[in-house]
Amino acid sequence: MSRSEHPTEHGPSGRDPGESAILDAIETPDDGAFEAFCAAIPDERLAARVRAMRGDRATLVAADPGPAPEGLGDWALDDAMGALDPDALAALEATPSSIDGPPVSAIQPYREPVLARLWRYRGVAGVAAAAALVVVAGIGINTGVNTLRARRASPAPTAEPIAEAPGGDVPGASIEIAAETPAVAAETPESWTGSGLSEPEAWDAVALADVFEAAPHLGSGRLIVCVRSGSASGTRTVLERLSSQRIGPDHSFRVGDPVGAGTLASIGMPRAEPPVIASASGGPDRVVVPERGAWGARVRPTASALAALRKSLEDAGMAVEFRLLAEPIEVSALDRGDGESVTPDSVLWWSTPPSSWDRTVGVPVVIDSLPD
Amino acid sequence: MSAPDPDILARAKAGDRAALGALIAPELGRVYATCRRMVGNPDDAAELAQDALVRAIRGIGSYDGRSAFSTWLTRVTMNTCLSWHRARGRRAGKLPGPIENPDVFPDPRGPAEPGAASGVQAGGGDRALRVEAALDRINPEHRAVLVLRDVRGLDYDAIGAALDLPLGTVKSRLFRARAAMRDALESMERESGAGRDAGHDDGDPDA
Repeated sequence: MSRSEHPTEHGPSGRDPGESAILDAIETPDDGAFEAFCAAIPDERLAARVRAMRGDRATLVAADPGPAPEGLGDWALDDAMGALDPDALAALEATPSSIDGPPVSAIQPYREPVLARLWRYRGVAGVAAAAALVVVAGIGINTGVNTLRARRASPAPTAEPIAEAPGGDVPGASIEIAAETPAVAAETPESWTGSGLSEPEAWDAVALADVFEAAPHLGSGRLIVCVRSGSASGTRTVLERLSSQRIGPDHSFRVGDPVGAGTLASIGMPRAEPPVIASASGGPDRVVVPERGAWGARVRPTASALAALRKSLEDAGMAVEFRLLAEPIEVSALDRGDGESVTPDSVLWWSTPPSSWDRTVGVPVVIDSLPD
Repeated sequence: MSAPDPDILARAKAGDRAALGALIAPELGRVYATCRRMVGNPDDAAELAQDALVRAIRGIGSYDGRSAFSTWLTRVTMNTCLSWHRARGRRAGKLPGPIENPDVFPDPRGPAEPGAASGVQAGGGDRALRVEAALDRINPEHRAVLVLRDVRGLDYDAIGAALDLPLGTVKSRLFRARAAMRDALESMERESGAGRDAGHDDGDPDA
């Protein structure tokens, strides 16, 4: 017994003992020492209580909790290590069997189609229904725009550019003339630029120096991209190629469908002085009226996106210039691309990964192309 | 008690069933005794003992072998039992954890009621049953230290290791546990006496 466990060495001397001494006395195996300890406690009630606690301990120590249940260890091992006992598996392996290979259930599991599983969730079904409605609406808008454009496309050459054509050319003759004039191929955008867009006095639209001046105006409705092209067919080819996919770093822009004649007219772009084309056959020089059209490009609202758009157009042989209109033009949601209206374009973009979803703005790209 | 054979321990950690069985076999009786005294009911005790052993087997990787396996297993067992008590307390609508602070210093002389400190001991052949019933009346933390000391016979250091308590706290909590059990026994004695008095009254209406 250690010193601290000997109750007589902590025995009370005129005052009640502390709990440590009482604990030691309760647990001492020396009955004589314990009785001496208790006799020395002034408070008889405390002494009686200490005696009782010693008895309680003796009872608890002597009480037999009983043996552990048979198989307790095996139960625990089976439970902890899983139901598959290696020995049992080995026995199964040694058992002769007429079955080669693992047993295969004859019941074919029913696999619910993915769409059916998704449809069971009301939230997914709601989103799918909304998406379907948006797609249908988008197709309708797209069809409407194309139909309207087709209706307006046929009278335009007779009403607008041909009426202004000098030299008595008949309506629609510009394309035919161009087709007959090999010299058109010698025309370059650079040689034509001087007589085209440089008419600030006639057009209240400020030319911007570069993409950094232009970018802050994206989405304002005032920014337009003016392009001159030496070949109408080449321009169409380029625009079709650009409209088939998103171009530039991070899909920074996309050229969409041609915008309506109303949008083009609202830009108020003055027609350039038509170039005079020398006749290859030695006849009189011919005046060629450029074809004009406007496309709605969707661009991320960054200078780099504008630069990518310009580079793509320049690489296709076009002269590009950014201009800022005095007043915002009235463009459709498709043209403006304000990100709030649902457009066919935006619906199509849903097919891309979410990481590519981003706000884009619409910019009219006005192109004057020499007829082929 | 000492650390287990390193080879057996390594094989046990590798999932060798025989090695695991060799590790736990000497401890089965102690694990069950601990659970039996901690919960009182033999069926619950067997279930808890199995649960504790399963936890130990699955967690054998955390046993570093520096202490006795018995001490580590006792700690796992006691944690299992205390968790059981807390869960039962929640099911009964009690707050989890001890009902009272197990370390609050009590009056060593016991309750102040007249006659309460008479040193009345449960008498007769049912003394063991009364002590067991009194264990059920004290909070699990007091019960744990009593079981480890009186049933398992652990010294204070081992109790501290099993319950993650410093030595001083072990001793003070053990003293409070003994006092709490004494109070429970005296309370049971009073209840029993009141019942007997009521029975006498009922049985002798003319008295």
